[in-house]
Amino acid sequence: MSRKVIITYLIFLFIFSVFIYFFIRYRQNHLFSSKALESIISTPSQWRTKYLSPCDAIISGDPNIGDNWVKISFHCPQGVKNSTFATTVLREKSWKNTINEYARIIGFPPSEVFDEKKWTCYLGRKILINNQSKVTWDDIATKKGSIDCLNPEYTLNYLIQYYGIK
Amino acid sequence: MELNKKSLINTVKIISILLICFLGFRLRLQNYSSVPRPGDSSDEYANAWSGLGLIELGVPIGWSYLESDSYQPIHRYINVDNIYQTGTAHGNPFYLHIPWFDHPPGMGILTGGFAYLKGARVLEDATTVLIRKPMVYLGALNILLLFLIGYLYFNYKTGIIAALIYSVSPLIVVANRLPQAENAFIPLFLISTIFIKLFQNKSNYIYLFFSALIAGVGIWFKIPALMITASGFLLILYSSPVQFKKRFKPAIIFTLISISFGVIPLLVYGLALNPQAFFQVLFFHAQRTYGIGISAFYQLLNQSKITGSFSITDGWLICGWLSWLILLVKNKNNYQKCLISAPVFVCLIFFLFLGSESYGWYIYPFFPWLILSLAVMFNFLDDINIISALSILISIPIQILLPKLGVTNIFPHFTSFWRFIYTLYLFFVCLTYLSSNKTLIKIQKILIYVLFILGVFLSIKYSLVISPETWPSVN
Repeated sequence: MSRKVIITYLIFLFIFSVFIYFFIRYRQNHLFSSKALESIISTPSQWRTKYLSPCDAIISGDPNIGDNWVKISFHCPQGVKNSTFATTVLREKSWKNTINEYARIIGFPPSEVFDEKKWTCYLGRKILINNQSKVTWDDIATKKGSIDCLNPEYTLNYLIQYYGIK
Repeated sequence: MELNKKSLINTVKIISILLICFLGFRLRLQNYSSVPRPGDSSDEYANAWSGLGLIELGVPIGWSYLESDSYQPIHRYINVDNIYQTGTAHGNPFYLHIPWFDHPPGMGILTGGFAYLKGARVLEDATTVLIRKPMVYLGALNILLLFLIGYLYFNYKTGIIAALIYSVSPLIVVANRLPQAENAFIPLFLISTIFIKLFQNKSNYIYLFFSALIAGVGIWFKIPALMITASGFLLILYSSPVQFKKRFKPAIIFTLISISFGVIPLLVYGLALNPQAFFQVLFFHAQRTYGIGISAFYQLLNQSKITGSFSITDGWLICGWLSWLILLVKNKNNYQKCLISAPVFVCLIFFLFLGSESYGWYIYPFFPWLILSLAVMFNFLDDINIISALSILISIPIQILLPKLGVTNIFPHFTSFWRFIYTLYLFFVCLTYLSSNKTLIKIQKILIYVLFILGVFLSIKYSLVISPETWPSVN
């Protein structure tokens, strides 16, 4: 291999490397933003199965996440749907965000749960009602209890009985 | 007339290899998105996400368990392929790093780029239906490339046998579907080796140059692809009839070009995105404790893992290992000896030094070379020792596949029947070996080919049987 070929290669490699450097820098500076990042991460797939109700699916398995989890249980007519939810994924920690994020993962509209005619959610015996809830995030984080959402055909007594029997 | 006959034979030969490639492609395509189960190896998503991130945001995104004070992950649930409903994710969120530097960007650009072209725009879109598809094509390409290596270094028969085994081996069929970097740099390994052969045949440095560039491109997929450079160096140095002194210069040129072409753009990539995080991740990987154990080599021989937890015992691979060992003793031709020994030795050295944890894909680079070793054995059917060894070897895939296909359930007396037949067969092999009788040797050779065809047939059948329903029980 002649010296000329090697020198040509080295020049090519240099130009190629400089091109890669500036190309990457340019694209990163022009395309990257926190909003775009959040969108690519959090937007559900166009091809994902969509559900109508939280009774249709669960998050299967228990995350290996230390103490940073909360149980979410939906008491549906066909039975209880239990999921363990890693709270480390929440940017803003509140029970509403928990439900919103849970709904996004499963693929059902969160408005379904916030509709008081359809669901009533509790933490222990404290009721979680939209903006009037007095339950703080510390209650959720420290109690390690489950957020229980009841279908209209169930009452708080049912819940007390449910955990009592359990 | 003579010319017509020759061209007809050539046409048949070409059609045969194309049919084998098509067969391999069809087998790989069957249930490609559901076997192995989506989420069995989450690495396939990390690769594709890094590509999607690079294309859409100019920054690679991926998951990793590495973390430090300045390199903190964000936790997110990304329900790609419904892995949180199927349970393969075990409810764990992904630990996302932005930028993600666990692996070079090649694999991400390949799978993420393919997904992007097919309409994927967010991480959840990178489903196995999209990201495994290019691997199916690459798997079929490997068959053709392996044939070319067998053909160029040995003869047509070696090439066609190697291609046929590679196309139907159930372990390789399933493994070829996974978007792991190893599956992407194997074709580069094979192409680089083909160019080395062309360089040696034609003494034209342009082939050496291409071979080196392709070996370098492998490093853009995964750093252990340096094994292509190491293997190429040994092949150039030891597999040529020219003087050692004259071989040394091309070997050095090859190494310098391939390493510079692989490493420099990769460093530039890291420096352009985030030098601090890039070098931190490199440092993490250098410090990482791998599961290397005293029994690593033994596990390599007896555990044919596809992912971390799923394995398929594949007789062809076992035959490949045994053939490789036999050929280390048998092969006297320096030129062919080097092709058989160098790539496997290099893979083994890299496997033990860099990885050897029980993730299946670390063993993938061995596959073409072991299958080639088995195919080369068929060149020594004039040697009674090899005939006897091959007679035993070639029955191994059949013995593994028959029970897996449930033959014993379909025919209740099959075990007794097989015991009788196999005892007779072994007696015949023994008699042939001891007597060296020419007629017996001829029959023995025919039996080897019959068993080989039966093994291929059973492999096809088994590859078709593996479905999402039967997958959990293939271990």
